[in-house]
Order: sequence, then C-alpha cells, then structure tokens
Amino acid sequence: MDNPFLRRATELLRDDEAFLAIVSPEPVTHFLGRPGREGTLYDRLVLLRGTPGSGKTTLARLFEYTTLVALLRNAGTSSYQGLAGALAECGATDGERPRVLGCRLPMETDYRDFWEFPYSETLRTGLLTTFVQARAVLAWFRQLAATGVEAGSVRIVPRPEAETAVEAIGGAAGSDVLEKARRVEAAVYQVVGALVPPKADALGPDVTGAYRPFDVIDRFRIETRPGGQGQPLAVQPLVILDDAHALHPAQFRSLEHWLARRELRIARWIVTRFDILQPHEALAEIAEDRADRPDYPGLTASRDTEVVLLQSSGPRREQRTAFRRMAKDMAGRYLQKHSLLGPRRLIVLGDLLSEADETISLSATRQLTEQLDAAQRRLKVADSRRRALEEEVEAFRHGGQAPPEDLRLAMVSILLHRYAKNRGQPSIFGEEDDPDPSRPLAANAEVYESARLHLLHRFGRPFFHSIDDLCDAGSENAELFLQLAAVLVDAVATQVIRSKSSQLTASTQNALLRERGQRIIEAWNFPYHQQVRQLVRSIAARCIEETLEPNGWLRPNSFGIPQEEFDRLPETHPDLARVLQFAVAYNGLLVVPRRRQGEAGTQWCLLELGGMAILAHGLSLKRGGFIRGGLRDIERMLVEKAA
Amino acid sequence: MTPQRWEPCIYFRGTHTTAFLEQYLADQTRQVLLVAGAGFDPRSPRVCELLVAAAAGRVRGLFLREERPGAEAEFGRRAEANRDLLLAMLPGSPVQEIGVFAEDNAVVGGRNAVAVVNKVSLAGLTDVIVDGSALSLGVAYPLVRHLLRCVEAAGDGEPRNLHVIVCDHPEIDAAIRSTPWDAATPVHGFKGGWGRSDKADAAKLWMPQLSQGKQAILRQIFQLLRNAQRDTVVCPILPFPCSNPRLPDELIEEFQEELQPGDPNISWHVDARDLVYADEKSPVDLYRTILRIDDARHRVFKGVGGSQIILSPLGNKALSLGALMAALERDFTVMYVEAIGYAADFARLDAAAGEPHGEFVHLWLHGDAYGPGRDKEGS
Repeated sequence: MDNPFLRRATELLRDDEAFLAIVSPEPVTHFLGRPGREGTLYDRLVLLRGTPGSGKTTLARLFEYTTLVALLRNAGTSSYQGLAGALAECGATDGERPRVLGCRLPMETDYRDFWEFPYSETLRTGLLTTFVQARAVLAWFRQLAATGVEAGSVRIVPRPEAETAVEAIGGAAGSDVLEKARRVEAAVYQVVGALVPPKADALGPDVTGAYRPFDVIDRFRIETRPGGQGQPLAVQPLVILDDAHALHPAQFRSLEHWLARRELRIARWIVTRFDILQPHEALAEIAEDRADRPDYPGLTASRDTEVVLLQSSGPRREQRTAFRRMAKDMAGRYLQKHSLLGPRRLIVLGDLLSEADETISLSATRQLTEQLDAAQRRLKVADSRRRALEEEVEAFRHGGQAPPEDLRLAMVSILLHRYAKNRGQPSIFGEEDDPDPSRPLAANAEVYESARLHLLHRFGRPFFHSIDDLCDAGSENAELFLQLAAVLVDAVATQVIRSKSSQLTASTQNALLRERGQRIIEAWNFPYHQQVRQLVRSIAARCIEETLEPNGWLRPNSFGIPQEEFDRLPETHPDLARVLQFAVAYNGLLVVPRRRQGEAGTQWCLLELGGMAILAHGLSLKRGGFIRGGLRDIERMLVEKAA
Repeated sequence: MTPQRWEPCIYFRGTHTTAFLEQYLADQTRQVLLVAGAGFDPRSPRVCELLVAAAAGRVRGLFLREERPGAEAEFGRRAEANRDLLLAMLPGSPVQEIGVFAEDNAVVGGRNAVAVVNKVSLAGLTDVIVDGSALSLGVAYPLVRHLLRCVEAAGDGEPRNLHVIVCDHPEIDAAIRSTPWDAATPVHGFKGGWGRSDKADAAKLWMPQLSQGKQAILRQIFQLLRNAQRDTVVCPILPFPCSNPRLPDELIEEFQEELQPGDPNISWHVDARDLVYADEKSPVDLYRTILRIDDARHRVFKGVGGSQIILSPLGNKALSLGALMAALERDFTVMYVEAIGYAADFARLDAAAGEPHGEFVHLWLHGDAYGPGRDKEGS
C-alpha cells in the first residue's frame, strides 16, 4: 500500500498537479507572505536558508512558471485554493495570471569548478556569472516551452537604460535570445568540463564576451499564449539558484554581491543550506542575535537583501506554533492522498493519535507506592509533611483534570526529594519534627513533566503521544516530520485493515516514535556522522542522568557552552566546528545562541538535541533545560568513543 | 552497429599479464613511466614489483598519495611504509600529494591529479602504465583520460603506448570501507554533457555497478539523478559469472529495497529484464554490453531528445575498467560519491594481503598494437 508520507513532494511527484495537491500553503504564507506583499521578494536579492528537508526546494518549485500555470489552471478546485491564495498574496500571480517567470537552477555541479581554474578572480567570477546567466535564460525558455509557449512568440523587454546592450544578448526576439544563450552555454561548458583548463588568452569570445542578460532584461513579453488566451502577458523573470552552498565561499560572496546590485530588474533568489558555508560562517549565521528580528519570524530585512530562514530562529514558541500549524495542514493533505485512509475520510492526523494517558499496571503502582514509602523513611520526612505534599499534588490540574494515581505518586516522590534537599539535613529532633522548606514547594507543570519522564524510564509509561508531540519531534523540519508521521500512518492503516479502531493508543505511538527516532539516527550517513552520533549519544546520556534525578529539578535536552567559547570555536577547534556544522545541518543538534542564565547573566550557547535524539533517548520535548559545560566537555565526549 | 574502438581489445589477466609484461618489456628500447598510488592499500607496490622485475633500469615512477582530511594515523603509517617500498624499487621517483578535498570540502582530487601529471615530461618514454590498484575512482579515471589524450597526440620521442593495470583482489576491497561525502558529482573529465541544456530532454539511463557496502553511495547518486529527471531508468550491473557464484544473489538481497517496488525515496523500479550481467573477470565484456545498450537506445531515442547513459562503476576493479573504456569511447557521464575517509578492518586487510596476490588485469588502451587508424577517443 502506497504511503504518501514516504514521498518527498519535490523530487518524486512527476506532474505539477500531483505536486500542488500535497503542498501546504502554510509555509508560503509564513515565510514569504510579508516580503511578498511588500514586493521585496522580487526587487532585491532573496537569501533562503534552511537545513536539508526544511522545504527549500519545495518552495522554489512552487515559484517555477510551469507550477504557477498548473495552479492557476486548477484554481477553481477547492484543494488548490489555499495555495493559489498564498501565491497570489506573495505576488507570484495576480490571481488569474502568473506575474513571475520562475526557474530553478541547481548549483550542485559545474559552477564550483570555476574556482579551481588558474585564472584571475575577476575572470573566474566572470565565467561563473556568464554560465549562470546563459543557463537561466535557457531555463526560462524551457519553462515557457513546457507550457506551450514557443520562443518565437516571446520578446524581451529591456530595461530602459540597457536598450543599447540588447544586441549582446542576441537581440529582443525570443528565438535569437535563446540561440545566443545556447551558444554561450556550450562554449562555457567546454571550458568547465576540460580536463586541463585552457589558457586564459585562448578562451573564445562566447566565453569572455559581454554577455549580461540579467543587466538587460526587464520583462518577458509573451505575445501569443497557447490556446489564444487573452492579451499578451508580461512577466518578471525570477531565477532561483538552488543549493548554492556548493560554491566556494569566495565565489558565493561574489555571486551574492553581484546579484545584490540594485539596478537589476530580474528577481533573484539564492537557496542554501547551512553547511554549505564554511564552519565559521555556518555557525555564525545561526548564532547571530535574532533578538531584533522583525514581526515575522525567520525574516530579516535589509535594503539590498531579504533573508528568509527556514528553521528555528527568532521567537521559538512562535516557531513551534507555526510549525505545528503547517505540519497538521500538511498531514491532512497527505492523508487525503492515502489510498486507504483518504476515502474513509480519516484525514485529520490529530484524531488518529490518542491523547489519553495510559497508566502503569497495578503491580507497578504498588511498587511505586512502596518506593515512595521507602524514600520517605530514608529521607526522614514527617508524615504530616508527606500529607501536605499529597494535598498539593491532589489540588494540581493538568488540562483541567487531576493526574492519575501513578503520576500523583511520582509527583509526590519528586516533591518529597525537593523538600529533603530544601530542608537540608534531617532534624535532630526525630522524624516527627517537620521544619518548613526555605522555599515553598508547588506541584506545577514542571513537576508533572518530570514525573512523566521518571515513569517513562522506570516503568515504560508512554510519554510521546498526541499530534503536538509528533510535530515538536519533527524539529521544525518538514521531512523529519513526514518520516515520523509515516510510521504512525502505516500503523493506523494496519488497524483499519484489521477492522480495529483507527486511533492509535498512547503506548503504540510512544513505541513507534521512539523506535523510529532510533532507526533514523542509526541510518545517519552524512559526513562525520559517527562523531555526530557519538556527540548526540553523550549529550543525551548526560541529559537522562539529570532528568532522572529524584527531585526532578531539571528536564534538559541541551548542552550549554559559554557563548564566547562558542564564538571562537572555528578558530580554536576547527575539527569540532566541522562536526557541529554537520550535526546542525542534519538536525542532529540545533544551536540556540545567547541564552542568559546564571550568575551575572552569563550568555550560553545551547546545543539542543534534535527531535530524533529526544525521542530515542526519552527526553523532554520542552525547550530551555540545559546542562552547563564547556567545549572541553564536548571534546571529551568525542574522545570517549575513540577510547 | 557503431564500430567499437576496442574491438578487438588487447588485454590480459592473471599469469597471462605477467607473461605478457615480461615478454613485452624484454625489448630493451622500452622506457616506461609508472603512475601509481602510494597509499595505505597493500596493493600499492605490487605492479611496481612486476615492472621492476621485467624492465630493470628502464622504469621511472610517479607516485600519487591521496590526502583526505582527518585520516586515522594507522592509514598514514601504512601509506608511508608503502611509499618507502616503492622508493626502494624506484629510487628518486617523485611522490606527489593529491588533495582530494579543497578547503571548502569541494571534491578536487581528479583535477589536482591531472594538474600534477600534466607537468611531468613524457619525453624519452615509450610506454606509460597507470596502476589503478591503489588509486580511487575519482583520481584514476581523469588520469587515464588525460594520459590517453597525451599518447594520442604524441610527437617524436614521446610515448605512444598507454596501459592500465589493476590488481583485482576482492578480499582487499571488502576489508576497506569508505565513508562517503554527502554529494554525488561527475568524475572530473567525465561530465559527458551532464547538466548541459541540449541534454535536458535526453532519456536518461543509469547503470550502477552493484557492489557490497555501496548502498548508501548509490542512494545518493540515485537521488541526484532522479532530481534531474524524475523518470530516469535504472539498469543495475551484476557481476556474473563470478568467482563467488552466490554473489549476485547476495547483492540482490543487499539491494532488495532498491530493486523491489516500495519506498519511493529508495526504489529504482527495476524490472528483472533490466538487470545487466557482466563477467566479473572481463572488463571487455562489460564494455561491449554497455556499448550495445547505447547503440540500441540511440536508435530508439534519437528523434526524441536522444539518450544519455550515466555510469557508476563502484567496487570490482576489473569491471570498473570496462566502464572506463565505454565512458572514454562514448563520452558517458560517470557519477560517483567521493570518499571523505576510509575505515579498514586491518586484521582482515593484513590477512588478505598475505594471501596470493589477487589477479592482475592489464588493458592496452592505445599504441602500437592498434595501428594508426584509431588515434582518437570515440573514433
């Protein structure tokens, strides 16, 4: 049975309609809505950055001309309306016709090679930009051809101040521009593919000539549209340079600088992932202070560039809420496409995942009670104090409900240990003496969470269940979320086939998610994955140790190092920086910079475990708890493995 | 059918290789340049030993040592020991370090290797022999292509003969595991039109050579190809006949997720009729098979954008020579994933190295044996 959750939308769906049917409008609105409305997506350089699987290429594909045309063709269909509205909101269409002629150029191969040539930097950059321009022109015409528009029915509208340069790009007629681009591409390809680079003075005129279509073109004017559709259409060309991290950092900066020029009229986006840059830049990028971020998370505006970050940055609670919204919408679309669940209208993933708690067995509860009694005796806590703590716990409500007995016992145990720690040494006046703690003890959400974690580790009580846990475990990464959801959807489908309830119990969800998290970590295969895995395991082990402290004072899922140590990391520990670069790029760890805590408000940079590690090791999904340490500890964790 | 450049092909295996070299190099006018890897692989000195015995005093060496970041110290120690052995046999030969990765982690090994060899004077030589036993694919392929062009364009006093020799030793191959980099790229000099706009509509056929432990690498390559053209067809190459008759079955089992319909991120949608069998011991068998497939596809697709074949020759060194010949002749794309590092089971490696020397496979790619009519790639 085909499980659509196993498909990566961008790469696997062959036709645009199928692709559009499963793409959620949420990320478009969330990440691109504001700059789209303000027009900054199309009048300046846009830098889109995110981890693998964060949806960069999906967003890019949405703005390709063929996709926009397919969307508008089906705009009347209800399942496409949300997306059509989102793309109109960010200016890609006017609701009826495309406004941009988008094309995507993958930068994975060829382009980096120019950097290795024994030429001056000016010539190398010139070759790169010439190649990019020729390929962009070819890609624009390919997009038009795919929608039935022949090059002969297209004309270039030049920028008013560049009319004299039109001849250099072949002319204004579409077929001439296309022919020239083909010639230039072929000539430059010959250079880039050469085993031994030709001498600089042997490069032909098509390679070194003044070929600058980006400086010349303002609009593409489509004179005759297929099927005789209405008036001629003028569209703004948009080039999306995907995976630009494959370029050499110096090349990247040159390209960025070149595309940020204000006189350009074409829209241009650069899409990168963090590990494409050098470690220093990659880490600095996410460590940059986001406190002054504008209203829309993930965005920062400047006069020349618009930066869109497709992962955690800015207000984290808002990020998580936004991701939950997007993930639920995405899950609903995928469920509609599920061959078994879709026709049965089982299309709300949240409804298929039970939120009801499952308690531990009666014998385990008895064991827990005995342990609590033993702890009371060991800590020499008066019965009256225990009763007071039990009353405190009984008064506590979570989601308007009293916790079940097993949780109440675990919470009392935690409060008992907190009391003992708070009180100091047992009284010399006997067990019935009951001194008050130095600070009042409260049964609150933190104690509740600690109690749940204790029961998970001691009795296997389900901890990860509900749609919100699933979303949070996705580390705000669409692909990871889909990988996790896939296993749950498969289980739901199996139950439906066997005529059982379509809802998964908490224990089933917990077991499947934890196993999946473990399997994903085991399957890591990116560079330095052994070191990353070791680091993640070591941090997780330290976090578990703290989490299981009897007083449940902390539920960490991060390791904090002083910010200033982290800032110097690329210089002081280049190898470790490289490991962290990949850990962050592949969601093994998330970097949360500049957390103030402790004496004199020390700034900490947190290495937060990714959702997979949190699931696999059974840690809290709630953010903020961290173990303090230093780079020396991280180094030690990596050496432990070698030993 | 298009005439094939290496039909007939002069090649030898096993003891025939040794006998041929002894006889061929007995001619005192033969002056040889040996280009070989000086790495940790125990096969590094084997071909050198053979040549020194057959043409003592008439062999020059150029040894290449591939450098990867953060390599284990044991690899360095073994590489130095092999280098010392090579220099003891051919004193004064240059040993050049080849950086496989640039400072930004771009793959540059092939380019660097060609740049090094391009600076070497070939004057006074009659034969160039490339020993691919201890060279990685990303370095060996560009070197052979470059040297082939050199011998094709040879003037007076320059070598006209190019040979490639590998020591085929599956046990040693199995003891070495590579850690793949995270990006698939075409081998330097073997882009074969990959990414060029006039090939955008060509029907793409990927022919990966299946080999144990290479699943992750082939998945990466598949992802890249599928992103470029979603209906890329896959014809996996299986070694058969082969010394271990169960090997094809074991490979089918190892690659079952790829070969069977299922997870669309992984499955190649391969039909049983798409499997290509190639004699494990015969590079020429695979070479002929690939060219036959290319001829058939050319006829079918010439009117609809053409055909583009992409090869990924991983694993068995003899078969990878067959893929090399096909790629040289028809300018196919060769796609691979460079290794960021290696892990080796040293005990197994030492045990394998202590066994009989595997089998030498020799290919005479260009020169006196073929006459003057076939002096250009693709002719």
